[in-house]
Amino acid sequence: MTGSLGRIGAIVMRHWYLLNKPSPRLIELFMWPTIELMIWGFMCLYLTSLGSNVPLVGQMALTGATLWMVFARGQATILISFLEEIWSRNLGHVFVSPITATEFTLGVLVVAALRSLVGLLVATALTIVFFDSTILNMGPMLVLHWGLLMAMSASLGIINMGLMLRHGPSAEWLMWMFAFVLLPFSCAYYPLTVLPDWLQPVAQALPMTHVFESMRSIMATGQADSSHLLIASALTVFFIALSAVILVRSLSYARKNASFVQQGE
Amino acid sequence: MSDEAILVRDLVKRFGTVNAVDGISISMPKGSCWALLGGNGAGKTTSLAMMLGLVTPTSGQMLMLGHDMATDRFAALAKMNFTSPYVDLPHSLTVWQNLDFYARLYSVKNRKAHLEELLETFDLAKLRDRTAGKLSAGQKTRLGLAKALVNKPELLLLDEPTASLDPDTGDKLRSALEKYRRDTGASILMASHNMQEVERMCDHVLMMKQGKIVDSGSPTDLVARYGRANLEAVFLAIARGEDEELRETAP
Repeated sequence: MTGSLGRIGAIVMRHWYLLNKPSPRLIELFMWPTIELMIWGFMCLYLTSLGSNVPLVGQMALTGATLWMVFARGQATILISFLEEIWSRNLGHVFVSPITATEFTLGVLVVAALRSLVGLLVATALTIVFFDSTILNMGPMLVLHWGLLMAMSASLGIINMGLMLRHGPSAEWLMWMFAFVLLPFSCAYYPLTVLPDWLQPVAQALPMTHVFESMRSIMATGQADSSHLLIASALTVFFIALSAVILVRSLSYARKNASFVQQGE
Repeated sequence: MSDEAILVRDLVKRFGTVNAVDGISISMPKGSCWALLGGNGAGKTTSLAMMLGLVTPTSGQMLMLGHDMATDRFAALAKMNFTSPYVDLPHSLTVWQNLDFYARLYSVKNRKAHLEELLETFDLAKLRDRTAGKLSAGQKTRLGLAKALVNKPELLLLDEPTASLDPDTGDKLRSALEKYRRDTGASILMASHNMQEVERMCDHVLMMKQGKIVDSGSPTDLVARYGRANLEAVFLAIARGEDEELRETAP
């Protein structure tokens, strides 16, 4: 493999080398999604035990938690994959090679997608086996919802990379909080109408909100809400474009201010 | 086809009000080995970083192996490489994995055979499965140099290439670099504080002070012109400002 694909493959291989041996990195891969989904699984079991309409609410929350993890883990694994370079003070060597910023970013995104998929698929399988999760009832629409959230997690991950390049490792704590800050406005566990009127426009500006609204529509009626999916797709495209602009500007800033030479903890 | 490995014109880098590099010009022929000397903060590392595309110049032009770094950076970078003890390699990867990663980044052909050769050259074969984080400072330096040769570069930029090596290992690595240069005709620009190394390896020296090139010449020329015993004494004379009169009277 040579050219662009070879260089993207090199980034993937570099992370495969890290994961292809017993290390705490392997535990991290599975731990967070499994713990998070276990909490919601037990909550779902409790709600189911209450009878009447409550079980559906429980399943919506469990499916919402699973899909939220797609977004949260996606952006976290991008951050981790990028931080591996920062922690090892290796960015200088990488960026004096012929790899372009696009190739490097694509490499990081592929690694992050694989890392998050492995952990999430295992955790999701466990919720189906132990908590009777009905997530598979979404059918093929599950792939579309999952894909939209992964795309949005990629855009947030790229924004994080850009901010890290601009502000250095001191911004790391902020990056870890980013997804949690968005959680209350993303309506993963409750419908949009629960939010106060003045807060709803904020939530509607996030693609995740529309994905979760559509998910609840499928679970309640068996039908996806195409208007929500269209808005989610358009917003995701907008955020990906925005993240690309932020990354390009941050790279330019980093080159101007010698950040690659001074990078490190 | 350009005859210069490095052609730099009026290169300036300003950080706020500080002129880290202040209008340097370099014309380094292909196949030569030059040194960039100067005290701490003289602008050596910033100059190297600009030539590598890591830092954007405030103004000036740089052609590396005939490629304009402003418009054709990746074509140049594919034929260049770099090492510095101050830029690490991934600690959690083994020696072999590090070299393999960089060989893939540079799309090296016959990767495995070439890497085996590098392990032998830099005496790293026994350490191939040891993670970089567990190497001694000297072993890390050897790994860095092996990485710098991973793409068989036509131009090597080295920042203190043999820092922290014992005299025996340092000598072996200098010999390896000299052999590489002889065999391939590669060009080398190194920043170093080891004057004996510079006198041995380099045919031309650029003396930097406060972001400017204040003098240049072959090591023997400089020693003769300054009337000193060796290059280290010349370096001290320039660093301590004892050189003003000499430079004013230099041809």
